[in-house]
Amino acid sequence: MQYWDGILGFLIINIAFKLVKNKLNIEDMFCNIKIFNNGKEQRLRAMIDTGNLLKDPITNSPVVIIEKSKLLNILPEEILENTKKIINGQYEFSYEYLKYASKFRVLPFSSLGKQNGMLLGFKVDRIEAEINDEEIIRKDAIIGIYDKKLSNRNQYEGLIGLNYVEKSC
Amino acid sequence: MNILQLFKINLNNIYNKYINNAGEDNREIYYIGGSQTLPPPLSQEEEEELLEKLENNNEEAKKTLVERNLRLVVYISKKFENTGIEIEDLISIGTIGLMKAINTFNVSKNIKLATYASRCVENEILMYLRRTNKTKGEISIDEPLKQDGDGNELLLSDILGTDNDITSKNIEDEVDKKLLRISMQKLNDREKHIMELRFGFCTGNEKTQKEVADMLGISQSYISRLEKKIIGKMKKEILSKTG
Repeated sequence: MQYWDGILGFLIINIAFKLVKNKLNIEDMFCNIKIFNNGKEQRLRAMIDTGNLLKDPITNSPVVIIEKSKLLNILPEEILENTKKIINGQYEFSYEYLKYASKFRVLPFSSLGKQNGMLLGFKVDRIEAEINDEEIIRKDAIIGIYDKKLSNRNQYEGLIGLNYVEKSC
Repeated sequence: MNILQLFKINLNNIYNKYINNAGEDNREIYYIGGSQTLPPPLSQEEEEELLEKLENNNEEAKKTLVERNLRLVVYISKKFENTGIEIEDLISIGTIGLMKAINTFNVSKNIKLATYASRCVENEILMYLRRTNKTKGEISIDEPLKQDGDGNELLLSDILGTDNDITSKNIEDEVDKKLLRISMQKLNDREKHIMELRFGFCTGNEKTQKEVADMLGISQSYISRLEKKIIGKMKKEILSKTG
């Protein structure tokens, strides 16, 4: 859609403007997200993180990082507890879990804490994010399964980057 | 790009300061970037270096090896595009194969990583195809087959299934046969002969009354009378046995 560039620009200017005026409301940095997969739904709060530039290297789809605790509705617990083993090639998928095996994506990343990181990603049917009173729906976004907590005070469980708002290739 | 990055870093710093003022907690991920395109394959030296680290069970080396061999996975997965499975899913399965390959690769064996990994990737995809194809011909037992005018559905489960009397039927048939044999014994030879010709107990050949009449040199109406009498006799015999 053509007007997504506009939303992106608007967002950046909006945030910058408010920052400069020291009127940045913490609420502007958060948004509500809904994940839909296989008929199941999960809602959570995410922080709009300008530092999240993560993309799936194969499809260039944006990645939304989500704590594994909020994915129990989407993926079986056994898989969520074994993401490291899956990346290490040490996990065998049982016949029952085979349907999940084809939905994984490998997400290499580099961050300030880790130069050579790899996150296990999962492709879901649909993600809806309410950003700036606009509902942005994406069917190509990947969920990056995060092992630890994003917010110590449980204020949010996801990180969404600006590339989510960008036009899909 | 430089100014943009600077701007982004400034942005992060500023709102981090602001958020810290408000008592917010520290986030671990301040910046997370990914590769822009598929990472290029490893050079000989790079691969050798990484394989050495791999022998020492270096986790980072494992991840880099996976990352730099993703192109190989894509290449191999493309071969299976005609199986009807989406290419992304194939790549996903193939990547699992790649990760398994790197986990089990033995550097000392005389085989190149690319060769070994290719085999593992293909294997993984083939296994997946085999396992998921098993369900292709399956149809649910509650599958609706037809609908009549009232909108009532005919389900597969209505048609399938054995008859209730499947065992009792055989037993009943056996009893009937026995009774028939017993009643036949009470007939005289000519009566037996006529019954056999008419109903084909042994040969399976049923002849018409006219044919039997011609064979025996008597009229068809006589055969008809005889038949009635014989059947009546047999019936009496059978009824006396069964009550």
